[in-house]
Amino acid sequence: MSLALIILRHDWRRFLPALLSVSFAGVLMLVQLGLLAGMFGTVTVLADTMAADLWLTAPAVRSIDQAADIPSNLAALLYSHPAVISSETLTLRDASWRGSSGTPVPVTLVGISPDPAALSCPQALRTSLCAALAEPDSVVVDSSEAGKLEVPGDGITSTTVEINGHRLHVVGVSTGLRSIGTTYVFLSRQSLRGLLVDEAAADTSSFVLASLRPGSLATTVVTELAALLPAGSAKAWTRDALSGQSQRWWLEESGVGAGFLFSTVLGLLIAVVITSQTLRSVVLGQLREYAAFRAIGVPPSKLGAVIVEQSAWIGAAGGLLMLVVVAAVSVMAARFQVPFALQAGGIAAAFTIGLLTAIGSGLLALRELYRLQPAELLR
Amino acid sequence: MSASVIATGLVHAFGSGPARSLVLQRLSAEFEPGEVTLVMGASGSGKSTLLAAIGGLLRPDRGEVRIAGTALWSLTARSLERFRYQHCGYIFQGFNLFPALTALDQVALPLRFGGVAKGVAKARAEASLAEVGLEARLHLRPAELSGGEKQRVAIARALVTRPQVLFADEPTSALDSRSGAAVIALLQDIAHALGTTVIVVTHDTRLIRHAERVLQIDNGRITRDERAAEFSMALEQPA
Repeated sequence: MSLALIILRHDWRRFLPALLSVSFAGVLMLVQLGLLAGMFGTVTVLADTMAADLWLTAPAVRSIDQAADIPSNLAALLYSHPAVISSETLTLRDASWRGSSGTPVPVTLVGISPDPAALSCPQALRTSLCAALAEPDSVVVDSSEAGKLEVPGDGITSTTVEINGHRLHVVGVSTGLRSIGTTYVFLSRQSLRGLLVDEAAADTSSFVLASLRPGSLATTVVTELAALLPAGSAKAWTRDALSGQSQRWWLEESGVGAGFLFSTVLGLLIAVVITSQTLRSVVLGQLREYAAFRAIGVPPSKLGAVIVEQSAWIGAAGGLLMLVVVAAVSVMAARFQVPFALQAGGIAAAFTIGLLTAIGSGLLALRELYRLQPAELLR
Repeated sequence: MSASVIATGLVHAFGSGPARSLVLQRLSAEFEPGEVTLVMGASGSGKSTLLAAIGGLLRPDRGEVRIAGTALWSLTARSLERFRYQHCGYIFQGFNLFPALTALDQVALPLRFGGVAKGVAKARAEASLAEVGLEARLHLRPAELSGGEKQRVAIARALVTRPQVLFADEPTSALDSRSGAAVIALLQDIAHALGTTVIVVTHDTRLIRHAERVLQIDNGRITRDERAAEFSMALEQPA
């Protein structure tokens, strides 16, 4: 076992604050990242869970939740591209929902095809609920919104509700179709038309969806569609591009990204200060021992390597503790249906940042070693 | 394995301006191999500064130190470090042992830092600990050792690189008189057996009977330089 590890193992209590601060900063960063990614992931829940490869939106749309109307007949136009094998419209409309207590709740109606094979049928509704929407005036809501909408969360009890003054009934409850900013209510295109006051609205849709022939490259089709679509009528996106752009827009424009960056940097600063101070005090506590080795001619770089190795171990152990805590948080989040999403890249980045923070703190603590004059032992 | 230490014209001052105080005043001295030389004097007499200067730990303002013919203060910092590693051993008042390490690991450490293979370093550390009579305490940590034993571990650590010169600063001041006597006797045995030049700074007159020579320093100058026997006779005679 190396000197660094022997000292670490013997004096672990003195090193503990450094380890805890590294893992605390990592947990802070990852939990925020997970909540943000989970939250922003819900913005694009429609794009991410519908089977379409290609989306048409109004030209000015920067994020999927800012849908503006485009002509419905673009769905037919899309078929003129050889790679398009199916297309359909998707319409979102704001509405007012009244549950049993009569309190109005603003919702977003999502008019889809009541067919499990339809492009607009979200993954979570494919087993039975899309088909159930074929029944006139029926709706499906997400279980995470059930409380707010005064709907029994079991999905069995049928509830009658009022939307825009019309009576409809809830035929089922989905999971995983929650979105921040709005409450989605799924219904068939037919049922939606019955609720709209404006007849002209039937000629427009929020989106046009399309699926492509297997083997065709979505990005190429998007470029080709730009020439095919009437100028200024709509903009074509691949699903990933629309999803990515929407999440980026929320991160940048909402200010949440800046807030996240600020608190992450703050967390890291705190970790650096605590870690380097802890390491510094451990080094100071053993300065006389190190000085004795400086006296016999051991260069400070070799002694410094011991401290840097200790820092690296602290960083690695802090990273492991961080992983355990974050895993626990993610299990809790799933249990309480809090949107929480972490990708391997983010976790690896947090681990690396923690490791570098610890090593950087160790390097800061080295100053004491280089300042050391072994002759001071003789006073 | 023997080397004489020759200091010539050492001058050193601390502070500057009116607060400047001269601690070494053109001090010259020679130290012989196979002998224990005590450097004695009151606090502030300059004895520790002398030890630092001849031990290659503190560059004097003027003067030179030669060990085995090498002029220490003409070396670069890196060469001086290497020279100290190859030729010098140090024993300090506080034992400066890592609390986490066993006696064996403490003593093997200088060799490990010098790039000696683990097995070889352990074997040499064991031999060195046996020389100071600690062969039965190899696996104990400082907290489990008495003061005298800790200083023996420190001596074994200083000896393990086989230095030609051993510098000791108040090696017995933290020890009771029995342990102190045992430690200085050990240093004398080492000087005789290995031909090591042993230079001990102390204010403890009880150590004189385990030394060959005594240098008395006052105000940065050597005021007496006598064989130990003469020095102790002079001490015993009332003035």
